[in-house]
Amino acid sequence: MSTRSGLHPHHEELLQQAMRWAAGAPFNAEHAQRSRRDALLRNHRHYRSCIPFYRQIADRSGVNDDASFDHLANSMLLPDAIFKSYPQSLLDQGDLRGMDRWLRKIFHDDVKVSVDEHGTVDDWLASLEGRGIYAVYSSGTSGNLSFVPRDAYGWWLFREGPLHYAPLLLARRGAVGPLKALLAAFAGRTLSPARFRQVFKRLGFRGFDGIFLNFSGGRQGTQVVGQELARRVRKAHFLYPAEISASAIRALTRGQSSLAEQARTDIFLDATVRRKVENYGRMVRATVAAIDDGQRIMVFGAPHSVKEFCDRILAGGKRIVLPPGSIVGYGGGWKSFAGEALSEPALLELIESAIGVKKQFVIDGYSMTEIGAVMLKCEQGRFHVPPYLETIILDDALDLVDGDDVTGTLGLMDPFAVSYPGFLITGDNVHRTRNPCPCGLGGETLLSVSRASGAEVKGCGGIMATVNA
Amino acid sequence: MKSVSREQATSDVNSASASTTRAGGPILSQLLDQRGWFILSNEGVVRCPLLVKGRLIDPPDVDRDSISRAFAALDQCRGCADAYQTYVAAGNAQVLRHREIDRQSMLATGRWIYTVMPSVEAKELVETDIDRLTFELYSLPYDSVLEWLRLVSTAIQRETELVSRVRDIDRTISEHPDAFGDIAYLALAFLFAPENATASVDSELSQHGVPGRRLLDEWVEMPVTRIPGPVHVVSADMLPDAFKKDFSSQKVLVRAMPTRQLHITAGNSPLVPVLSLLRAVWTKSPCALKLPSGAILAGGLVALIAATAAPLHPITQHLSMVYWQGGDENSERTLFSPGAFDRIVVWGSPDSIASVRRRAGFTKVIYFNPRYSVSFIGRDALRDGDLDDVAARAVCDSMIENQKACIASLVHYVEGSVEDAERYAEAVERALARWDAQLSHPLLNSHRALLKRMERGVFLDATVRFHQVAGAYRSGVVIAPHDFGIKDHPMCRLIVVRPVSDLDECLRFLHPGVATVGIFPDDRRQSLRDRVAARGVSNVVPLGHAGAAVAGSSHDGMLVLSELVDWKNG
Repeated sequence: MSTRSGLHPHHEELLQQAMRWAAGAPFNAEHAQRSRRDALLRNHRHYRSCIPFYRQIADRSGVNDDASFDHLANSMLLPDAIFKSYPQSLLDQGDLRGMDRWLRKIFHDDVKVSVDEHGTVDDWLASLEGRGIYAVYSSGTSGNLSFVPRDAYGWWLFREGPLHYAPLLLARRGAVGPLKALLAAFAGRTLSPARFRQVFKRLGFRGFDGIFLNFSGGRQGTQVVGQELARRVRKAHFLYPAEISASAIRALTRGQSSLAEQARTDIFLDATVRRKVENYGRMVRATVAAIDDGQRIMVFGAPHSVKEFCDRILAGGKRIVLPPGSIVGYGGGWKSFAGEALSEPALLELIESAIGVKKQFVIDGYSMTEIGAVMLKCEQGRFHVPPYLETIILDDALDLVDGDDVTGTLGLMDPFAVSYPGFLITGDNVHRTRNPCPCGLGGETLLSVSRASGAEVKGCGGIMATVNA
Repeated sequence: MKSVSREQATSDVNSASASTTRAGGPILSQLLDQRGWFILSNEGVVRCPLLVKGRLIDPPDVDRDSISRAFAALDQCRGCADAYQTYVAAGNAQVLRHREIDRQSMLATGRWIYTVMPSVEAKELVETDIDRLTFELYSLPYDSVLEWLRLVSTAIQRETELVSRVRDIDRTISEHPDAFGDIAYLALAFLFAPENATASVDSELSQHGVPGRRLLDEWVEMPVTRIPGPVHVVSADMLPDAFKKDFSSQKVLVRAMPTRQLHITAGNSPLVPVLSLLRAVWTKSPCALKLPSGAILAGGLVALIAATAAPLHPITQHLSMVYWQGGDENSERTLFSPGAFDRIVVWGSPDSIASVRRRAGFTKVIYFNPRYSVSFIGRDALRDGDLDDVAARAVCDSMIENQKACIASLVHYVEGSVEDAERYAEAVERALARWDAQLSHPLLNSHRALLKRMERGVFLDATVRFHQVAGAYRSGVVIAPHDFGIKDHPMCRLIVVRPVSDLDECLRFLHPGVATVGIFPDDRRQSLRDRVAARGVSNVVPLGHAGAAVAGSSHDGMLVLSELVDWKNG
C-alpha cells in the first residue's frame, strides 16, 4: 500500500460515509456496517499475509483467509499490549537493531536495517522515520511505551482521516456561525473526500489562533493531534516549543540508564517543571495578543494542561474572556503526570469562569494511538463513533457480548490500520448504545468511558507494574 | 450494636458462651442452633457472628428478599466486564456474596451464597483504657497466654462437627482447591498449640539469651553496662557525687511491651488471618482483626471458639474479629487516626496497602507487600534422569496456595537453550497434569481474560501450552524467550519457563518484590545465595522448600514479633 497509488477506493468510500454522517445526511447503519466489514476482511487477509505476528496468532486460532467477520471478532482481537510486547531490556540496553526486529513482527513490511546499532528510544524513532516508518507512541503509568508503526499511507490516514468529519461535527456544535455551518453541512453531504480536503485545506481553521498546551514536536499520541491542528490555524503557540522526548518519559518512570537519557530527561524537566510558570505566562500573553488581533482562539491540550492554563489566568487576578466562537478541546487521560485526578464538571466550570467558554464549545475527544479515528463528545455527553470504526463489547472473560445497549471492555476494529494489526482489545470499559442520540447524529455512541479495572495496574499490583521477569 | 434489641441479643449470646466455658459440646451446638449460625439455608444464606472485645455479636435478621434487592440495585449499574459487587450493608447487617462453585466441575453453579454479619462500630474496636490494659493483659504471666492457646486448641479439636460444618459451607465458595481448604481447617488446632508460641516468641524476641516470654512478662536485666553520655561528661563537675557513684551500678533493663494492634488481613490464603491473629496473641497484645472477605467463615469460627472456650480470659476480652468493607471512610478514619492503635499490620492487595500507607501516617505500620517468587533451575538439572524429579520440586514451589501466595513461584528460569527449556517445560507439564488430576481448581473470569490475552500475544514469541480437560483450562506452561511484564502473569496454575544462558543472568530480575528464590542444585544455591539475598529477596531455599514453615523465622525480611512489640529501656 502506498500513497503513490492514491487512496484505496474502499477507504475513500469509508471517508465519504463519515463525511455524510457528520454532515447530518440520512444514515444507513447497515450500509456502513457492510462497507467497514468489507474493509476489515481485506485487512485481515493483508495482515495474515504480511504481518508475522498476526499470522502466528491466526494459525494458532485456526483462522484462515476466508474467515468470516464473526470468526475474526471472536478469535482475532489482540490485546493492545502487543504494541509494548518488546523486551524492555532492548531499550534498557539501547539495542536499536533488536527493536527493529521486534517491530517487524507487528509491521506489515520489511524494516530496513538501521545505520545505528545502539542509541536511545528517540534515536530509534528518528531513525524509523528516516526509513519511512512513523511510530506513534503512548505511555502509561508503567513507563512501558507502546509503539504503533505506520507506513506513509497509514500515517496519512491517521492524520487526515478524522479531518474528514471532525470539523463537520464542530460546525454542528456551533463552533462556526450558522451560515458557515450550513455551508459545511452542504459540503459534507455533496463533496468527494478529495474535494473536501482541498476546501478544508484552504479554509481549515484559519479563523483561529491556536493555544496548544503541548509539545511542538515528537510522536506521542496527544501531541501529534495538537501538531496536526497547529498546521491548520492562522498562528500556533505551543506551551513547550520543543520535541517531546520518549526517552525522558520512559526514564522518568523506569529510571535513567544512560547519560543520553539523563540529558533528555533534564531538558524535559526544564521545560515542563522548572520553566512551567514562564511557559504558561507566555501562553497567556499569546492569548491576549490573539484577542487584540480579533482572532477566535482554539485551546487544545490534555485536561490537566487546560486546567493549569485556566488556573494560571485566574492567578493573574482576572479572567480573560475569549472572543465568541472560540473553542477548547481536550483529550487524553484525566490524571496529571503526578497522578492527580480531575473531574470533568469541575473543569468545565473552571473553563467558563477563567476564559468564558461555555460547555457547548468545549470539545472532549476520545481516541488512542492505535486507531485512526477520534470520537467527539456531543452536547448530550455522548462520544460519537464514526461509521467506519467497528466497536466490539467484551465481558470480564473477554467473550463477545451483543446488544444495543451494553457496558463492557471495548474492542475496536479499525479499517484504517493498514500497516499493523488493527483488531484490538483496549484497556477501556465503555457503555455503548445504538439508541439514537438526542443530538440527532446517527450511529453508535459511547455513554461513558473508564479505564478497565486492572488495565494498567493488576495482578501483583502497582509496585509490580514496572517489573519484568 | 446500636439498638437495644441487639444489645440484648449480644448479652444473651455472651451469657450462653460464658456458660459453655471449657464445657463446650452440646451447649455450643445448642447455641449455634438457637442463633442459626453457620447453617447454610436453602436460600443460600449463612449467618456468621463477629467478635468485639470478647463479645459475640449476633448478625441481625435480614430476609433474603432484602438482600436480593440490595444486590440487584448494584447489579443494575454493573457493566459486563466489571466484577460483581460482593458487599452490601442492609440495615445493621453486612452481607457478602460469593459464587457457589460446583466442586466436581469447579464451575460456578449460578447461585450466590450470602454471608450475613453484624455491622460493627469502629470506635468500639479501639482500646482507650491504657491502665486497664497495663494491669490486665500486659501484666498477664505468659503461662496464661499458653493456657488460652491450649483452651482454644483443645476446643477446636473437640468441636470436629462444628469445624466440619463450617468447612463444608466454606467449600461451596472457596476459590482454592478443596485439599488446600481442608488442610487449612485441619491445621487450626496445630497452629493454636502453645508449643508454637513458645518456639516463636522465645526465638524472635530473645535478647542476650533471655527468652522472649520473660521479656514480655517483666523488665529483665541485660548483661551490659550503662555508658555515660556527653551530657554527663561535660557536666561532671556539676553532678552530685552520689549520682556519679550510683551511675554505673544502675541496672540496664529491657522489656518487650505488648501493643494495641490492628490487623488488616488478606484472603489469598485461608490461613493468613489465623497467622496474623496468633502473632497478636503471642505478643500478649489487644487485637482488632479485619477478616478478609474470602475467609469470613473460618475467622468467624475461630472467633466463636475463642469466645466460648475462654470467654473471660483477658486475651478474649481484648480480641475483636470483625469485618468492614475495605476503604470505608467511616470505619477507617477512626481506626487509622493517630493514637487509636500502636501497630497496624496490613496484608494484601496493592490498593489496601496504598490506602493504609496514605492515611495511617502517624502509626507504625507493618506492611506485607504484594510479592512473588521464582525458581532457578541450573544446567545440571537437565540431565534426563533428574528432569521429572526437579520439575516436580519446582512445581511444588509454584503450587503454594494454588499459586496465590507471595512465596509461590511464577517463573522458572532454566539455564540452557530454548530447546532445553522446552524439554524442561514438558516435564513441568507432566507434573502439573498430576496436580490437575488430583487437585482440580476453579477458574475466575478474570483469569480466563488474562489467559486469552496471553494466548493472543502479550508475551512476544512465547510458546503457550495449556493443559485442558474437557475443553476447560486446568494449567499452563509458557516458554518465554524474552523478559516479560510480571503483571501479565495470571497466577492461576501457570508457569512461565524462561531460558537463560547462565543463572547469573537472572540476577537482574531480582528486587525486593521477589519473596523467595528456590534453587537447584544446592551447590548453585550456596554459590548464589548472597548475591540473591543482596538484591532484596527474603528466602533463598532449596528447590521444593518454598512452602515450608519454620517457627521463629523472618517474614518479608522482618522478625515480625519483634516489630509488633514496643521495646522499652528502663
